[in-house]
Amino acid sequence: MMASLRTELDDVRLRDALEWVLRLNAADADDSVTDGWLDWCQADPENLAAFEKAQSLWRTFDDVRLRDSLLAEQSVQTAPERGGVSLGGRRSIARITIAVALAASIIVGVGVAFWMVGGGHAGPLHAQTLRTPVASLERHTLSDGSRIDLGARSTVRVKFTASRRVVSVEDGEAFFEVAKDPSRPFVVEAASLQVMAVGTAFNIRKDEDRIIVTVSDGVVRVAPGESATLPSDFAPNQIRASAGVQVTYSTRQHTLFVARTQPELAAAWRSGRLEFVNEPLGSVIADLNRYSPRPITLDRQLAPLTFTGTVRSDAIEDWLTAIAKVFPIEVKDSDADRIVLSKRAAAQ
Amino acid sequence: MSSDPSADPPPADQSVEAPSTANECHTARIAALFREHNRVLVNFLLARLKSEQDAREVAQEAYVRLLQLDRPGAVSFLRSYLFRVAANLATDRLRQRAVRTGTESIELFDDLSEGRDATQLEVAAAEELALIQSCLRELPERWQDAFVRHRIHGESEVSIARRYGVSDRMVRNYVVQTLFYCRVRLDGATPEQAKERLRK
Repeated sequence: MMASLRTELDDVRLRDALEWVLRLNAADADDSVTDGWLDWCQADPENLAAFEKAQSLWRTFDDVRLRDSLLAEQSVQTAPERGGVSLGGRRSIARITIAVALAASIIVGVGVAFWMVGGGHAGPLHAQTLRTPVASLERHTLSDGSRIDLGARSTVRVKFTASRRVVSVEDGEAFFEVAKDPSRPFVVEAASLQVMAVGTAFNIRKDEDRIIVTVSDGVVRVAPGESATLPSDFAPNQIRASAGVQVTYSTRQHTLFVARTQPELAAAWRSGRLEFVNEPLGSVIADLNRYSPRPITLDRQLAPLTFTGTVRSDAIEDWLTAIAKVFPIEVKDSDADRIVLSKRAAAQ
Repeated sequence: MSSDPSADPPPADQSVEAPSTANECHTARIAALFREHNRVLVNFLLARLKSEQDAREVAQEAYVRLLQLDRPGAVSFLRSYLFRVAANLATDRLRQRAVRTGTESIELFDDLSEGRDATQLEVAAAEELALIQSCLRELPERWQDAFVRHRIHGESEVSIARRYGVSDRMVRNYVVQTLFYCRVRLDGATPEQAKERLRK
């Protein structure tokens, strides 16, 4: 059956109207586009009405609910790039550490991804959980182009909506390279700490007691606060941290401590070097445990000792042997399941 | 032509008139321009600004700029001048969106407040959104992908064209066809009817 002439004419007009919507909305639209469009509008009184219909449809795609649904749908189609990055460049010739080195070089990515497609008014959400096992690193590219390098035994949750990009660091360490998108703030949450970035690279390490934010490029805003807080409502006690600044937040005392560091140390772990500056031994061991196949337990009395230096993540047991000479520590690694660090009976 | 309209006022009429008469005449012209073009102008601004409220405010500001012209020109020049002023004001508004200044109401623009309420526009019916989403799924995957990349992610047509190894024109076509299909379906066409009309 042939469509009526009337419908055909209307369809032509609608197509023209849609073309004009695209041209006028283009970033490079100039006066000649405007003039052409004005002439078209004046050529026929029905053209403007068609344009309004076309533009109203175009604008419907600004609706946050629709955007979220479409983003969620697309991210299911094109799952983020996933791959492991092997630890360390050089192989240690170490003997006892061979097990560690082996485990480290094997890429055992268990990035678990799932997407929740909710219904109702809240709108669907793009959510993803990324998780690495002990001694394994992974690099992920997110749907917005931002990159996350995930340290060993680390878990982050990615929640993207049309208006916000939120990543929560549940455990471990992650280095972020944030793709610029001023309309969608990139907020990293770790416990009750929020870090907001626009086009920045920074590292976050979280353990039981502390969260350490190290900025390697650009500026981030760090603020303690509830996760429900919007970035624009950042607490007045927020800190602007630029490249080379390290902010340490105590999750027990709720205090922020700011120090200067070398920006390139922020994510040295990505090449197998774990860097510590004046860090409590308890925190150092917690970090090493994410790389050691055999968990290391530390006598509580030793936890406050501070350590400055580098530990190769594939030579942790060598390091333990070395520090036993500096600290009043005794290393008991006879146990196949764990390594125990206890206080040496007679301190020198 | 200069891109900055304030530095480039339209040429003055050749006719010589007493200043007061000229002013009255100018105001009348602006009023006529407003009556004739306001709907077009608001639509033009909507392409650049996100909210109807913003579009109306900027349109109003543009007319005020025109009223303040020292040497009003011919209406034909005024029209393109009006759109250039409006485009520049829209750019400014986007830049300082956070800093919003109230615009005083002027008698001439009283009917600006009429028409659709801004909040009314934001709330499209949930069924409409659901229908749009299923419309997209009825289309070829490449159209959907090109459309979402362009409209939702803001990726340029040129970049999408490179991704697929097709011409820019082809990407524009995907986007237009996708929107065309949605529009026709929203107006009540069945998928079969809408696909038939796509082929024309």
